[in-house]
Amino acid sequence: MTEISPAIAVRDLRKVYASKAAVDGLNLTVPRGSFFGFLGPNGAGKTTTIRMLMGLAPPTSGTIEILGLPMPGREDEVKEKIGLVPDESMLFDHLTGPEFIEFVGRMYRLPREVARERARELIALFELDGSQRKMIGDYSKGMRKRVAMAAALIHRPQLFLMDEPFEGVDAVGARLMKDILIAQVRQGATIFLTSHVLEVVERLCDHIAIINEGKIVTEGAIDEFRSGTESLEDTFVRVVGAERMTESPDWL
Amino acid sequence: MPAQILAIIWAQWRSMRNYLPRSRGNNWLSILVSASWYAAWSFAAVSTGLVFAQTDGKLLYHLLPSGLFLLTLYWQIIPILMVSAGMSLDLRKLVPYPVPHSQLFAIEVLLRITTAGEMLLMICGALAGLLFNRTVPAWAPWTLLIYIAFNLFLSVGLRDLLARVLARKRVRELLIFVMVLLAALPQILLRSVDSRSLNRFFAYEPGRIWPWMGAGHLALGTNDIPSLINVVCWTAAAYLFAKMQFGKNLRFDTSEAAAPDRIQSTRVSLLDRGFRLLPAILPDPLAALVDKEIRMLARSPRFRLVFLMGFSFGLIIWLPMAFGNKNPNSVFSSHYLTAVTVYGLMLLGEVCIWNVFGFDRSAVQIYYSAPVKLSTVLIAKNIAALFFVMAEALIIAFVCFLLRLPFTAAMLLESIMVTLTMALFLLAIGNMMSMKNPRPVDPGQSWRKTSAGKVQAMLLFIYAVVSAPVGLAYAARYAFESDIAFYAVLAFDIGVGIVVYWVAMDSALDTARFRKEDIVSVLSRGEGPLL
Repeated sequence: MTEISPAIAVRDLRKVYASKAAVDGLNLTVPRGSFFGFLGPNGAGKTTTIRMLMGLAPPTSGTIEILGLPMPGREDEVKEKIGLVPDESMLFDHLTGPEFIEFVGRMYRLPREVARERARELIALFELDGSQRKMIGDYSKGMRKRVAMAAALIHRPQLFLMDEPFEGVDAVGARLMKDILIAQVRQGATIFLTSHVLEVVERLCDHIAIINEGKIVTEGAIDEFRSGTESLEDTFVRVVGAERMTESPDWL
Repeated sequence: MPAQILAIIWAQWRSMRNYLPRSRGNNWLSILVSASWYAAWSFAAVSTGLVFAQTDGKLLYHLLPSGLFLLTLYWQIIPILMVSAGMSLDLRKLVPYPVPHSQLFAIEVLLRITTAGEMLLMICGALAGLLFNRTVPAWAPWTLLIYIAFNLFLSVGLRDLLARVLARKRVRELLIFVMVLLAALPQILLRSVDSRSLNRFFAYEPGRIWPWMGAGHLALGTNDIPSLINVVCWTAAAYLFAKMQFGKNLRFDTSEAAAPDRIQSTRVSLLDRGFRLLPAILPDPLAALVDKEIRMLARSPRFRLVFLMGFSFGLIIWLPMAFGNKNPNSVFSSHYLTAVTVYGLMLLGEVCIWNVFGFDRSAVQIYYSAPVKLSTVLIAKNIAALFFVMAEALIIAFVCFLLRLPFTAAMLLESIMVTLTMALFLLAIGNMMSMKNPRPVDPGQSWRKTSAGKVQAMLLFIYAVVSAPVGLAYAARYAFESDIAFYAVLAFDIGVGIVVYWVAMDSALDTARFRKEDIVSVLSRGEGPLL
């Protein structure tokens, strides 16, 4: 019997900037078909980890396997199978929404007509059809996230890597994006997302890992976090060691 | 052509098409200068073609390799001197997609044409001329195309190598130190080595080892096989160099290179002590703005590169012109310090005069919403620019003193006064241009994306206008044979400059108020797949 490889398997991953380890011996397994939430306070190493998974930053040491394929090594094959919702600076501000989505489709080798047709459908699905002629540079933050997610879907990837996909998105947009993501997981895709919004993670994800100072401090199925008396927020604050009370300055 | 390359080209074209209508009318100067620049080069290319079509083969045997040498020099060195290496792929945005690296490399090589389109025109002129020359076999001129490939590959390799090296802390400073030493080399040689040995060295016939010799001879159909081997070997070496550097750039992590050291000194630096003096000299919020501006610029890789180029490459570029001839007391050598300082000002203009909000990008919103007058912001930016211009002038003077180049207190005073006068007029025009044509600039991006030649032409045009008042001062010195006359005219120029500055400030503020929404919107944008 052949064992199905996990969507993401990371072993002893380290990334050192100057003499500081941003990611320090990270071990992580993301099962296929899961909706995985990767949480952590600011500067914990979330973005560095996702940048390494996307192939944007080479690890200092350790191994990464995505969909059973090593990164780096077979990264071209890996890239074909993943959809990215990167941070906003990766978008092309002088393109319109449909143009950007079509561009991404063509980068995944979709025929031009197919890419254009899918771009049109995705623009409608993400309710961006009112801003078809607007350049991405003129979009609001929430609209930029929507267009990034729409582009990530165009080649029907098996794995989604999403960096703060709900940041700046309004309630209507967030509901729309959540519904689309849930549908993708039902169809067998895996989603790995970083987020600060614990409510969203609690509602959507079936697996969670919390990173702090470059190391995983806790991980498990969402049910394990729900079973106790603590909320996810309480657990988060406790495991990252942020329970202390800070004194406000007198003038504040 | 592979579909992904087409997609990248398409996205860049759409980006430009979407962007250009908004900037229409503001770029008239750039368009005018570009058109004149390329028209002049086209004329030179046609002239070269006409000359080459009729020149005797023996003369061409000496002429063509020298021409190709100058061409390579222009193609490879001018972009470095002007800190303007043409367009390049934004690899950060393209690496996540499954595009084979060989395709990205192919686009990058083609983009190197943007560094020296002028040289492509010249090669085309030479090629056409040689095709009409009856003494040259018909197949031979076409081999010049290999020489174009050689230059393209070399340009990719050099650009990628420099971009990576200059992004690394400490290595960058070391490189600049090496540059300064290089600047000193000719002077050290001239002073320490016997002139006869130097003459022998420069008169030495280097044979066919250099690529321009091989390419020149091959294009004339002489020494076929050795020249072919020469050209192929050099082109292969340049290809491997380019491929290796491009591969390293693909794997390069800029965040890692720019990461601050973990252990940072808790001692107050000299610069910080200087900043603490600012509130004593200037009132807040002006002091705070100047403080912010100086710190921001000093931390920007783009600015640092330009600033360091002023007193490193700036010294090299003018050395041969100043001291290359037999007369050590020529007009140029006695004004060497002023020339280098003005070159430094010219380079700094791009990062702190012509587009003052360029590095601020979306932060410009704060200037409009904070309870600070926009005139205060502009004055703060101009004070910071003057600070760096004067710092550059003093460093250049110090390096000249160290290298035993002609240096006297009078020369220093002259260079500072001339630079200050020109800077005043430049700041006045710069404030207006910054409001009329603001462009977002990535402070982390070391190289400018326009052609170095075009930048040079544009700056020459502006400087020709701005140097007129200084020219008057020199004319006064010449006419009256008196330094007093020179400084009196310069003092008058400074007075006029101050009036022009305030008039221009009013105009800039009007534009800033009128175009508020446009300025904020344009500055907060990123770009297409090309940088």
